[in-house]
Amino acid sequence: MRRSRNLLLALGVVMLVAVPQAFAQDAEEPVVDLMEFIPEQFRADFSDINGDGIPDIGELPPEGVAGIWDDKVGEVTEDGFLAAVTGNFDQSDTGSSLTGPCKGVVITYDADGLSVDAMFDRGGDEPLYDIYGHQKMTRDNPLLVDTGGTLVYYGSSIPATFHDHRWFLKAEGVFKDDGGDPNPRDKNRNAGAVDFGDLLPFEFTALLKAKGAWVDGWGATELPEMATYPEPNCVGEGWVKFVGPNPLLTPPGILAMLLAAAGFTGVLFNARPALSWREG
Amino acid sequence: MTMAETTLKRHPIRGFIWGLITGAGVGLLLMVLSVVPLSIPTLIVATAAAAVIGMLWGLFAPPKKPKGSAPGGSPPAAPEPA
Repeated sequence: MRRSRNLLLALGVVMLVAVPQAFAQDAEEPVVDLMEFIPEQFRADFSDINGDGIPDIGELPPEGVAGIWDDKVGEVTEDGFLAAVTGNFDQSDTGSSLTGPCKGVVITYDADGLSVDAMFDRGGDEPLYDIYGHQKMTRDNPLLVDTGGTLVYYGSSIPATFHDHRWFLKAEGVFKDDGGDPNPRDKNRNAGAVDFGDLLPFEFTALLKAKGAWVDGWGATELPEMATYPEPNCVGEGWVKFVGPNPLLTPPGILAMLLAAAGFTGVLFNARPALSWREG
Repeated sequence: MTMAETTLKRHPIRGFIWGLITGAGVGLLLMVLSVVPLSIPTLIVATAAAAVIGMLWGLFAPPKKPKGSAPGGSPPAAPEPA
């Protein structure tokens, strides 16, 4: 009798949590067709297979064209890496922003090419949005990125065209990249893909802050982080959530559990003060 | 006959080291589970705080009782006749 009552109670709690969420998900309809951000020549490669309103990918678009000032080596020492991926990240700011003429779409995919998440920007000072019209890259609505998958982007600076431009992109504790180009051919758009499954040594999960900037007319020297840049420029900041398999089965998750278990055992049984007998 | 006394041995260094390891593990675990954002300064602060708590535990936690019986104490009572 008591067991049945407990079972019913547990079932009730699960229903209370799960059912409203299911209805909320059903109620949301995409308000934007992301195909409008994808150049015509690539549209045939996309179709919405999993029915989430985000185009799924058949074939990866060509890699973005690298600029001549792009950092192709990265950091080669641990100290250099740590210095590069730390910085002035404001964790108390739970919002997101992207200012300047930059516009476009970012779509993330899992290892099978099915969409995980997407966001777009129409340029100007408005923030990034998801397909439901909610502000994207906030702490409550971060961009989900599969660490075993791919990220695809189509972007432009229309109507501006940047020359002698520099850019940087960094995510706290995980990566930093930077580069630039004189842009003698007056390009003002780019498309490309980042294959995280290839780039990352292992899959992991984490919520973290990311930021970046792209500045016109800066020249060959590396862009300082979040200075006052000359106009025109694009500056953005927001939250990214790396997702993947069960977090506790990833190498960082296993390491964390081992450390916590070993440390806690040591504190309990090896560090406690102890009385011992003494001849008095 | 001598009277048995106890001495108290504290372990602040062991507490500090085990606290450091616990803090690093728990901090990393919270980040892996996305409970808190990934942040190296936050991880350092969590590890340092846990190390201090571990040291305080090694100094002031309720002590473990001494092992065995008191040396020179009264012998164990003989079993009562059935």
